[in-house]
Amino acid sequence: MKTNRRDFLKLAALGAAGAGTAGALTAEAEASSAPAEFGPDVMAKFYDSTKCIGCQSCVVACYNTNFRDRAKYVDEYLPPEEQNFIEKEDLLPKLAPQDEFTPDKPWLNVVTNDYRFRTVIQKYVDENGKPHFIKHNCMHCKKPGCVSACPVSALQKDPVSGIVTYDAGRCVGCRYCQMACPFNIPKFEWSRAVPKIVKCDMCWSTLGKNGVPTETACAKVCPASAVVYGKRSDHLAEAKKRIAENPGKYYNDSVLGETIYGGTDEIYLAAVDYKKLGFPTDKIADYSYAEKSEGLQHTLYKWGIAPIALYTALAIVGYRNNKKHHSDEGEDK
Amino acid sequence: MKAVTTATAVMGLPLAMAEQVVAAAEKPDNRPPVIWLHFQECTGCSEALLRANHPGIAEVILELINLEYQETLMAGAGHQAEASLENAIKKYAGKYILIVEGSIPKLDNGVCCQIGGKTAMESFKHAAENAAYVINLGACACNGGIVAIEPNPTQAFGAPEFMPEGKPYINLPGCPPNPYNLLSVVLYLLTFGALPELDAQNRPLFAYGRLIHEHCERRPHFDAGRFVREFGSEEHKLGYCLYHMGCKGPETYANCSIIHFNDGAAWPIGTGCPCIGCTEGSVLFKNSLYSLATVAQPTPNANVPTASPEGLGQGATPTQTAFVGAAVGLAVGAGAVYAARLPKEPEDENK
Amino acid sequence: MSHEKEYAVHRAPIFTPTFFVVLLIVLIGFAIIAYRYWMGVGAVSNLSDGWPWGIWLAYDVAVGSAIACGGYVLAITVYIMNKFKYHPMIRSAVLASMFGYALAGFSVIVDIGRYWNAYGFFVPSRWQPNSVMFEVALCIMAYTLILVIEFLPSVFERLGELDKWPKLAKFSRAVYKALDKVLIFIIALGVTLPTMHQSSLGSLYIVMGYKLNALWQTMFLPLLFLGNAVLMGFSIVAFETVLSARQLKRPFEKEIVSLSRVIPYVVAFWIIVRFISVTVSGAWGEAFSMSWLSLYFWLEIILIAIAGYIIFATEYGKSQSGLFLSAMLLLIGGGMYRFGVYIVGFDPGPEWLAYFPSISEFMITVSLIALEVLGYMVLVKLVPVLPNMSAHGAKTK
Repeated sequence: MKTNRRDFLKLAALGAAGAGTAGALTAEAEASSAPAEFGPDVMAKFYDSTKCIGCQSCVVACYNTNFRDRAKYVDEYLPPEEQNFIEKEDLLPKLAPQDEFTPDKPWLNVVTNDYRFRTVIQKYVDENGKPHFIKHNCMHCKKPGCVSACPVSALQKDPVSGIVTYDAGRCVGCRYCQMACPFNIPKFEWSRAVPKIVKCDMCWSTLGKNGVPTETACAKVCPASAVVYGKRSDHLAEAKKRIAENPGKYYNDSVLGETIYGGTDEIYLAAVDYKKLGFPTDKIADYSYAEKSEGLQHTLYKWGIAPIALYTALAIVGYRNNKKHHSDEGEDK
Repeated sequence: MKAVTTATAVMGLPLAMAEQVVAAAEKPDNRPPVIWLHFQECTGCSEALLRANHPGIAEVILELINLEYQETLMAGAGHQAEASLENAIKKYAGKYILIVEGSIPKLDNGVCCQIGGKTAMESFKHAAENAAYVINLGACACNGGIVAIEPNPTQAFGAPEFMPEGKPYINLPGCPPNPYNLLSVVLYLLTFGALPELDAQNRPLFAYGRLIHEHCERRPHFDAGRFVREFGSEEHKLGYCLYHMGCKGPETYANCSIIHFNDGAAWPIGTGCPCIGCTEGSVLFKNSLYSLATVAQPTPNANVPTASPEGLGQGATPTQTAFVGAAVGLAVGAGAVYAARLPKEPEDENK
Repeated sequence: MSHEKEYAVHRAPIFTPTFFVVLLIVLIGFAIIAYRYWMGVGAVSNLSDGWPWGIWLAYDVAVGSAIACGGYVLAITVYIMNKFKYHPMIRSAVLASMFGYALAGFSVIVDIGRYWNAYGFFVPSRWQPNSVMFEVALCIMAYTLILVIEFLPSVFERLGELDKWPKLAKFSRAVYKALDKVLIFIIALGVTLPTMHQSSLGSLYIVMGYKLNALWQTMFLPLLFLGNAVLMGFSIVAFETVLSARQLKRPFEKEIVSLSRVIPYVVAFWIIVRFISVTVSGAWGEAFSMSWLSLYFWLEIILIAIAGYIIFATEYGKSQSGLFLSAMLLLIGGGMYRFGVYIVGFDPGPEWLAYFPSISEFMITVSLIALEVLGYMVLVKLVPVLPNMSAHGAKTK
């Protein structure tokens, strides 16, 4: 075979390499640029670990509102006669076999967030035997990985309130949101034939009747005001005030949620290292990985230029080759 | 007055309402006429009422209600009594409150329970049709109770089974029901002229809206996992949770754990006896006394989970590893053997 | 047309003992799949909230679609690089690709929880162009369709030969001619789409950030996945050629030896990019930490490098055995890379147990592979797919 080495594979490979590298570089640049600020009406929950008494009332309130009695709340704005059978099924609080009632443990078995618990309280006991409580739920990131990952817009971030909502009617159950969440928050109903993704939506779909809620189940019942619901800006100011008034009381005098993963709607204060409270703060960067990923995708596929150009080039080359090949064969005969 | 204040409190109404209730209770000749029928029962519900002190029974019948017919309390007997019942029904038709105690048998057209030659079915229907409201007092009147236990020889049922269509009625189950709940309902009817808010089983929510479990004095022991496993044991003496002794508190809706019995002096769980679920038709005499209750509203246990949980997810079992490893190894090994058997001479394609 | 005689139906009985063994595996797998639809994904798999993606995506989609890249690389070689010498091999490669992608699609339907909502990919109001998954899904669906169209000529060619139904035969011949004219534009699309989604299969993991180990997490993921797909595409063509020659007792197609000479260059390119990516990520410390992950990383690179060396520098690499062995090494090494990204290098956090597929989960994957093999075995005996050795052999001599 004597074909010259001006073959297209090289070109194609080079092209791909070029595009890939350029994409990588651009994405780096985009990720490092300052992200958009939080809007004025962004809603958030503010949790102060030092106030929490670990009563788990918020866990029960959330469980009752969003899991056990979910149908009751949804029926108010989506009457049962307008629901199709899958929507009805989605509202049923079905327990997985391993979570069904056992006489030896007649309680709700809480370990971590799962398909029942959109929020949980966990405990860390420090060296002095002092317990520190922490509330784990969706952080409603400014640039959420889950929203960026969802291929069918089932997860969306409300542009005004910043609440990350979930629409089971769109979800295909691919679980990419679970993979993409740096806090491992979205959960899946593994033992159901009709499963859905479960995550905190600040009671958007229950108390809020598919709108910005005026209160959340957890904040409403908290007896110690450890978790409160309101505007993020107010919460951040309050958190800063508490730190200023009690220097040294809070870990590093810092607020969790101010910068982590590019900033989250949720505001946290705690007296110990957040890493010990279950946040992988040492691994999560100060920018959203979603920005990186989207930066790369947008560079490679901007306006569809690259794929269309590639297709056109391939079609032209292929057409000419094919024509030439056919005429060559004709000469052979 | 004191009696009325107590009743107002039981109803869960604000104290300011007490005056309204007093006014209603004290209006002359506005004592509601009450007809009280007994069917297949033990008179325990009446006995419980007799033991109430705030108000005492005398106060009740003399000041609060106009008791027209009550087989246990009335002086008359025989045909005279039956005639007075008939008179009362005629006189107060559409106005009186009918209180039913006991279940009504169906077997052979109700021959098992007859009063003055009339079957319970007949006399109940007659009295209920002309009543303003019907109050079914006690487990027997609400669900058949002890009389209706399998095999139910008299085919007994609760009064709702025979209720005339559309008749407003209220169930006050219990064995016995708390007398203050009855008193509160009567006063509520008197004050507002309507039934209080009811649940799906027609029980007043102010008394039956919450689980016994929710206000039980032994609840902290439940949350912490401190259970009595044997009667008379050390744990029993320490007052631990009776859940494992068959206490039905976690599935029984009633206010026993709040107002107690005998004027707040005692109640079953307080004395170390498990709740038998007497206000729940589906529990009382249906489940064994010592069977475990279903926790209707489970809550997390008092131990808060740790912030660094371990072993989440499903790791591999040795069988799985062996199976998958063997399959993959087999495939790779087969490939290697296959490669070894193939011709090893270079193929010259231009040959 | 000139290449009508290029292909022939493989004349052999369809219902062989092998057929029934493979069929049995398929049936077992489908019973488990039925159970999964009744009881949920968790009932048959070891997947959990920490490990939502398991072998159904790592093998069936990521590795399976890479293995199915034979059609992609041959299309590049033949039509774009103008090497029509390899044209006779293209139909079997396209058929294998078609089954590979159908398998990926099928396993996705088994894997996703709310499959009845999958039509949402075609509802513009639900499109989410930021999502890598969205692009991958659309591309894979489109490419599967393209592969079917690319395969159609063989079906129509066969139908055109039927004398029983003259009308159908006439129609088929007309369609065949029309298809032949536009096929090149379809093929160009069939090269564009895999370039897009094979790279995006890697981009999927960029959003996961720290959850993917630094040895694999890099902005070069799309390029590495594309290179890996080309590599695995070439080797699967070699692999299949040797295997079908041997198993179907046909003469060996010697074109594959010269085709395989490209492999070492792609190997070298890929390993260089891989090393650059590790450098950029600053993960060399991790690579030499002698942890299980670093050993896995080196094994994956060494397998690929050895295969490249065998083909590049040894005479053995030109034999059937050497070709088969190096193709196998490449498939294992390339597959390991994809598993490295999808499962091995993924770590949701210390609280989660490591994922390992359950037996039923594994059996579903095995049965889907078996289904693919079954389909290939049956179709080559029904329609002209394999190179026509009598005509073709005469020409090369």
